[in-house]
Amino acid sequence: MRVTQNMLYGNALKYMNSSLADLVRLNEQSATQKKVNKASDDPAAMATILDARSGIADYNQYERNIDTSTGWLSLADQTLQQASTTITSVIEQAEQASTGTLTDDQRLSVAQQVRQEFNHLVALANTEYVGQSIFAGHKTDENAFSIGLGATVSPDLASGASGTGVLRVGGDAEQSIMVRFEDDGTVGGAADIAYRYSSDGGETWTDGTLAAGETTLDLGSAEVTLGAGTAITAETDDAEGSTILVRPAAVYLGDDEDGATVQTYGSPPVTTTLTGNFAGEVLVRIDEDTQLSDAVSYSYSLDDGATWVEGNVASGARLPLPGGVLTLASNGGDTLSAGDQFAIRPHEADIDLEISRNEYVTVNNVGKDVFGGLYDSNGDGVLENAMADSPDKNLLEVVANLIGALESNDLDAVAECRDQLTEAQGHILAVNSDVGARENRVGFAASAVDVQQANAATLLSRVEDADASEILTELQQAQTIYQAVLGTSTKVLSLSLVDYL
Amino acid sequence: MIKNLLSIGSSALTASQVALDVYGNNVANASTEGYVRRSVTQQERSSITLNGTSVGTGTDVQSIVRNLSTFLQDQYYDNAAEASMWSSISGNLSFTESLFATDEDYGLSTQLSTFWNSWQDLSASPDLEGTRLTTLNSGETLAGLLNSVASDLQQQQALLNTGIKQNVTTANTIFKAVADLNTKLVANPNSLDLADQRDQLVNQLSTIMDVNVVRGDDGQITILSGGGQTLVDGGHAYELSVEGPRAVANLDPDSDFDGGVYFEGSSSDEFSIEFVTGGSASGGAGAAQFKVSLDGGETWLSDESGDPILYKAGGADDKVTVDGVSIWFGDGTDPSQPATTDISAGDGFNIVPKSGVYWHSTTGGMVNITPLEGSESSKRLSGGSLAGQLMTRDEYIGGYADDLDAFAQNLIWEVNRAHSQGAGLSPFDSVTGTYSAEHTDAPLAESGLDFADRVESGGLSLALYDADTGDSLGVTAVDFSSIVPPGTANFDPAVHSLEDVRDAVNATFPGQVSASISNGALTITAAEGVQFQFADDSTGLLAATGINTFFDGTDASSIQLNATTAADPDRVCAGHVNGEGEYNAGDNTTAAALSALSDKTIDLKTLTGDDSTSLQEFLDSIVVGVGADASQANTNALYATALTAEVSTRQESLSGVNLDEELTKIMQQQNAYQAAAKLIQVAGDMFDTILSLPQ
Repeated sequence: MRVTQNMLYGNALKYMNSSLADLVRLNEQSATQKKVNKASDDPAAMATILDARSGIADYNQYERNIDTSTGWLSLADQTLQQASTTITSVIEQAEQASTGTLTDDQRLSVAQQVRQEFNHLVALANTEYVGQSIFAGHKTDENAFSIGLGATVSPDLASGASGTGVLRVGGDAEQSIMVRFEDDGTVGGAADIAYRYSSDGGETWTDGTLAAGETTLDLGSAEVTLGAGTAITAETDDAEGSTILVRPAAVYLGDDEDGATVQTYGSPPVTTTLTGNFAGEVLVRIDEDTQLSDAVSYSYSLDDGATWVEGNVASGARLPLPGGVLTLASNGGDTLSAGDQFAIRPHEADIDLEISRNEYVTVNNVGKDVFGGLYDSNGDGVLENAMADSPDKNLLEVVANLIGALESNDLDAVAECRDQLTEAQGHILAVNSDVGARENRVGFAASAVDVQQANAATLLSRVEDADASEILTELQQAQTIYQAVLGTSTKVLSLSLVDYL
Repeated sequence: MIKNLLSIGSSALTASQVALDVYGNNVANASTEGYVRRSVTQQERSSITLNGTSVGTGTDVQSIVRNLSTFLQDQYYDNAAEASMWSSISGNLSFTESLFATDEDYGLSTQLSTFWNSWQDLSASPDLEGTRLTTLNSGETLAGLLNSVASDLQQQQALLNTGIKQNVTTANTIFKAVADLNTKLVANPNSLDLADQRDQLVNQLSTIMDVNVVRGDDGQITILSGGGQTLVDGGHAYELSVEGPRAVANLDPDSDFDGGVYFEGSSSDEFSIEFVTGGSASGGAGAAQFKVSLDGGETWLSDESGDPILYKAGGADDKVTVDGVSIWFGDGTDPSQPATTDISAGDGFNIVPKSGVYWHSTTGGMVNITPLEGSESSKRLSGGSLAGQLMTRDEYIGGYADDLDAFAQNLIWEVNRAHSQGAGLSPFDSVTGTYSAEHTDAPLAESGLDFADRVESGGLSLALYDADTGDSLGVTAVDFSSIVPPGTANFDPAVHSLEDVRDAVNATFPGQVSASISNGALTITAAEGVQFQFADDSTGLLAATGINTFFDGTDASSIQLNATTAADPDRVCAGHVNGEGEYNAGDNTTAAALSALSDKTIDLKTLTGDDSTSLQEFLDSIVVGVGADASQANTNALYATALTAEVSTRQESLSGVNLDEELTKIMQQQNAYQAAAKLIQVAGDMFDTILSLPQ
């Protein structure tokens, strides 16, 4: 092949250029210590890199969430331990006071101490983590409990379903107030009812009258509202009759997670009943026109209808869902139409944080299920025992009762409270161990996330990072090649026939 | 005899002189661009017979020729077109790639992660204003980054448009120059420098576009484009031009349609429309139906089951929108008036909603030669930097812009849909949607709302509160029973219009909450003493009207924060209205739902079909795709350039000048010249000898 001057010069330039380009590339890798600096360097590797990076960002986020969770849970743990210690001390006081060897005055001073401990327990229940109440469910911006007045009543005055019994206690009282009735009668009825009350443990009594048609007892600094129609029994020599003891109480202001409501979209002539424990909103859609007695095709969505789980068929109008069952019953009709929807909205109180992929931990607690107290569950303004199913576990109510018992010198009641305290303490410890178990889960998740993070980092480094020694070797090589090209080029280009003529 | 000797000597002298001229010229032009090495061909003069033997009579310079292979030339044209196309694409894409920065500290992919994680942070402390601000900021940064990448892409397209115009101008200049040279070469066929000039021009042209050269016997060449259009024919130069968006009708011969097709908006795609059923061009029940192809009719836009999507031909009031371009039919001259004649099945229309390169035929018609992605049509440009620029603009950058828009659109929808289910820290007194419907009285699905196609039937509820105490006044579903027909309680986008939504809200909450529509946007306002939150919405109506949403906008260029939400961090929905009708400060349900979107597989709606993937994966695939395209273009460019260099080297090997060789030949001719002179001297001596003979 003929070789021309242009080819000689052109090739020399080409070789110099390409070996210089190698040098530049290696220099970039050496400066960034990365072999993939942009997607076109290695598109497949870049896909892995982006994936690993977003994974690492997620793991960093999980670590932050784990730190937050640990903060909440360890604070709850400490708080519950302190509560348990306080309960032990209250139990000792109750023990001492129940023996009968104390004078009334001494018992009163024990009562003062128990009041302090009651306040302490309420303060513990109001513990905040970085300004957020940890025992108030979602209502983190408020105190979980406030201290007010409650009433220990004889069984006939317990607030009933028909709106009878003690409904509300207002005002304030430095010491518990005992109330006795002198007339039989009906609250809000046609006749006056005479009563007397004592604010000093029964030493002195003040008389009062509940006028006909009235429902509120005036107890000086405090007042008690009874439901109209409540039957009152007068005290006799043999029996105490209806009694009311106004003493302190802790009222739960936070969130509960009891029950759920169903919002119906469309107008199916049916009523709905929920059973089970729904963790979050569930949206149910009827997919075909049908009768309650027939098979019901339905879909449900856990993200408010963005995506649906389709193809479910229920019989007996019982629709199984994640977390429970929605039961439909006739309410003037049996027809369901395609497109009818039921939005199940549970009462929610859990604050869940993601501590590793799709694993959530609840970091807060529902104060009323831990410490008890009084709670208005249905918004009617009437406070009920927050643990009506197991009142012995209701720590704050038991302690409040104890204060009432001490201040009214009721030794039997003191002894009863002392036994209940043990049970309440057991409940606090049970909650504490549940919190401890959650802390453990967070701990496991932390180590798992650490390992995953390290794995992702290793993967990223393997794909992305340049091997420093390899680069240096290559750089050395490229440099040698460049020098060789320069050397040979100048030699070849300087040759000419003219020199030999 | 001696006379012959003189004649031989003089012919040799002449030949050597000519040869020395030629070789000297070669040396002089050794590095002249486009110069082709010349060589001299000599031929022996016809011999004479002397004494019965044949004797030579000297030499003649027959011709001076250019050392060139037309076979290699044709190969060079092909390879150079391929190489310069890929070099152009590769060079442009390496810039595009830098827009999609993959750095770990910034860049779209990183920012999207940051955005999702900001919702995690919010879910850990939903009541802190600081975390709410962080969430808003990271949303704003993400939106801003999408805006800037989208606008950078547009800017690059604009730069390419400038380059395309320059290239077209250069090509037209070359056509004229070649035609001119053709004419001159007919008059003066031996003008080698003109032939050099012409070859050089064609070489240059082959880097702009793919060409085929036909060499005529008369010394003229005809240049055809790769797509077969004649560019230069003898002394006639054709013309290319860059034309703006246009639509062309391609009617069935039997069609009566005399109206026009009109469009608004721009796209990097070309739309081929073919009518499947005939009928009215103005919408309604009897409207003609058409299908749309983006690749010149190879494939048709299809629905999930693979059947072509059929669009109804409509007038100015019911335009069909495909990929951001609204298409309608109207009177032949007045786009606002309906067409008076029907469209027939088989009628076709071609809509090019972008500028393109056109070839002008002698009859005055224009042929679109802009490359068309996916088309098998061979009539388009397929090489040269012009094709490279057009492909980069339309297929590559246009494709990325479409993908980025699809990403932004899906991001906006998914985030807004989840966000609109939630509740902020303070209830609303009044809220106005960010999206406007064009037709407030048409069923929502046809209202022209940007996200209308995603709205489903179902219900939505409002939670009302006492403005003074904050107490819940209950959660109530918006009841559509009062909208007759059909008088059903649930919302149905195929039936209910935005005005029906307004009326239903007014009917459901008399005296408490009222709704109104202004400029197509829905406003919901609470009465004095009442405030409200949105409890849940299984329809997506709130997200589609832009109420209680996080983002506003519809694509990568327009995405921004919803102004209402951005103005008040309390409006960021971390919580929701729970079963008790309350919204609580510590509730993180909605924040958690939003952060869970990060790896949620969603049905991404794109122009060419649905794709099940997560938003993060989709975005990463765009970023990696740009890199892969850049890398592939670079590889192709290197390969084609190497091939071109190889052909070039072989041609150079033939037509280039080697100084040593020329020097040798010069020395050879010098010697020949000396020998010829000697010959004449000998002849002279011989004459002298004869003349000096004794008479």
